[in-house]
Amino acid sequence: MSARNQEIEVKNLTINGQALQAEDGTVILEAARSIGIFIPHYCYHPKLSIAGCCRMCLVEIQGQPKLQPACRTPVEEGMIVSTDSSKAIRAQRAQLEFLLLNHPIDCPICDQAGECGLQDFYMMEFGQHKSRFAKEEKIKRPKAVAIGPHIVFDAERCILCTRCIRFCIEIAKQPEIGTKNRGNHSQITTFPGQQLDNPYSINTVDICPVGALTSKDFRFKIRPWFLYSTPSVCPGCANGCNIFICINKKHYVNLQRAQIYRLKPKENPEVNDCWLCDEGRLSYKLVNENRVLQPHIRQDGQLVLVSWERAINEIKNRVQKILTEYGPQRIGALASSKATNEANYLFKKFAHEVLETPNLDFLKGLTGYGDDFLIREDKTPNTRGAIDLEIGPGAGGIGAAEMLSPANPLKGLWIMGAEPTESYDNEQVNEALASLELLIIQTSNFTASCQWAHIILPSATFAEVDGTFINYKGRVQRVFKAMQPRPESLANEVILGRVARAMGYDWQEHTPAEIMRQIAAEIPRYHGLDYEKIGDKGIQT
Amino acid sequence: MAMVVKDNNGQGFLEKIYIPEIIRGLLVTSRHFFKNLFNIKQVPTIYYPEERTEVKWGLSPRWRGRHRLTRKDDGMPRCTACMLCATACPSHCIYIEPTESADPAVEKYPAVFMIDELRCVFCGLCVEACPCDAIRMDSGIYSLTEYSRANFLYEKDVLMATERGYKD
Ligand code: SF4
Ligand code: SF4
Ligand code: SF4
Ligand code: SF4
Ligand code: FES
Repeated sequence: MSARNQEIEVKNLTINGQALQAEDGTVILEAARSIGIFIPHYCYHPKLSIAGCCRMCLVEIQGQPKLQPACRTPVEEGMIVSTDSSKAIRAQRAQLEFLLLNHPIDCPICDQAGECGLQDFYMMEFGQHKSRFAKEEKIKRPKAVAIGPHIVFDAERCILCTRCIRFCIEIAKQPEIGTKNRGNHSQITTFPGQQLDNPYSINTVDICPVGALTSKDFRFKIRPWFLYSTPSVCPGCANGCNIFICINKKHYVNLQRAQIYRLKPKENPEVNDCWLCDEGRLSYKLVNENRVLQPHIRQDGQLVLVSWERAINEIKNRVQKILTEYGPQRIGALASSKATNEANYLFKKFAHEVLETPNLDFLKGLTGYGDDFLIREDKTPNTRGAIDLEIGPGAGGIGAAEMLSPANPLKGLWIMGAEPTESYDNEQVNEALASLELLIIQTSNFTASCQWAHIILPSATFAEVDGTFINYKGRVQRVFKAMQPRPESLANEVILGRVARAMGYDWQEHTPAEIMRQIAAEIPRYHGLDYEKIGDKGIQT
Repeated sequence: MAMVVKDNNGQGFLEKIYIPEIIRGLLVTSRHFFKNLFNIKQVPTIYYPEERTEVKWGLSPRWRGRHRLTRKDDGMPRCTACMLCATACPSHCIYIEPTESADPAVEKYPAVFMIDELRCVFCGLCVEACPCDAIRMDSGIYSLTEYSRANFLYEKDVLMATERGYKD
């Protein structure tokens, strides 16, 4: 560490009278941020190249006749910077007035209102001037243009900071947009015959400091000030990008149920920097739609709604019947790479102790497009976790492929949180499942295989439980409970505990944190881990 | 500092013995009673519901009645579904579902606009918050009566069909 310090030169400077040190090459804006001085900026983004085109960040540097952009002026020894001198403040105010010259009076219909850079600076801090430009004189530009499958563009609101252009070139590596025309008439546009359509396109909505780019999916659904964020991990693929789950907690007229409105990237330089892919970002829908809301039992070919007591009682009788009539070799258990480690760990214990079967495995879920940036081919968040927990057939047991083939020897099968047709041939699976005497599916959403189920148990989704996922690199990361499960659904581990107790086993009710400690004690790789240590940034194992 | 208690400040002996004061008070009451009894026409009491305030005196234009939504010239709601009223509302009784308008210049309008008048405390904050003069409480309707609670959820069509309640 000390050797590194010697290599990198440290500069001493003063910002607003506060002395500080900054590494050579740091720009003034970042140096100021490190001591808590905020310099207003639009075009600067820490993860993109520097454009220096919005001129919002001008600061006064002693000895220099003109104001300098703080976002692209590196610190120098003995520099004396002031961000609040009358000259700098006048410049900020004048610059905001320029940016707002042709800006429409749109905030009531603009989706950005509430998290808008213009609103923040203009109304709250640096502007507060009266407009000297009549509404009628403002230049009219195209509004609400769909420039991609996920993005709507409003040219009037754009302040031409070019963040979106730089994002497409530098991060998404698919240049699809640019500026056309000059001066007053400059405008962001897609290249002829192209769309803003790359796997990461919705990030442009996040980085657009104003309401020029809005997300088709989120547009108008709710105002951002009604949303509350909980840190979590994206369930979309094995990369495990860090996210915020945004849900509404304010229910007006009691008509609105708590639900997820969007996922936002959470910064984590080790995993996803501050980006998210579009597919993962839209993966929250499974939490809102098509949920299993109550236990179901099949009676005379029909699924009927029943209470938990009834369902658990039924499970107890029918599982015991299979165990006594055919023996544990004829029952199978399938966990899932979509479930948390806590649920999978308990499921393994459940299979061994309660079902007493060696036929245990996990389902791998869908695979699809992957690239060398964030997106992985494995579309489930916890394959690595299931492998590390050694969820697999025991001595004399059979694996998932065999369990789901028509020639399987099984009479009963318990599937938790997975859909077999995602990983195996549709017809074979259907044939295998149709021949079962007892199929218990523990799931949050109705899936294709539910048509064969004898008992369906409603479980909670990743947004409704505490737990951990392990990404493809072996990084253990926590998902936090963002909302209560739907009224009748329960976390996977709670369901397993209840069934085990009903079947006469002395299982304590454990919190996910306690289960994690058990995992850490049992699996050498995770020795000494607990929720405190994992924190909200995760830990590499 | 010690506290000084002044008792019966400025009262004379007659006041202190109460009886003459009680008689004086009763005389005031009785005077009004008999005056009204023989001049019943002048009594300010309104015999609601046969008589109505708005007919007898007219409502003050500042008076806050049931909400209404104003319309643009083309009959569409002025409301842009900005949700500022719902944000300002202390009783969370405004429910709005915005939707995309076919006209990009309008962009957004409320598909559902609902006020739970039973929860409303008629504070008027929604009217003050609205940047578009889209919601007003000048309908002059003060008597809200329905046969069921559910009927008190006033929807967009009802709110938009209501006209301004008074002529100035
Ligand atoms: S970009 Fe910001 S200032 Fe402009 S209309 Fe939208 S919210 Fe208002
Ligand atoms: S669309 Fe947004 S990000 Fe792109 S240049 Fe305009 S303001 Fe900047
Ligand atoms: S009058 Fe007050 S309580 Fe009633 S809807 Fe408006 S803001 Fe809400
Ligand atoms: S404040 Fe006005 S424009 Fe905004 S949603 Fe309410 S009524 Fe509509
Ligand atoms: S942030 Fe410095 S010029 Fe835009």
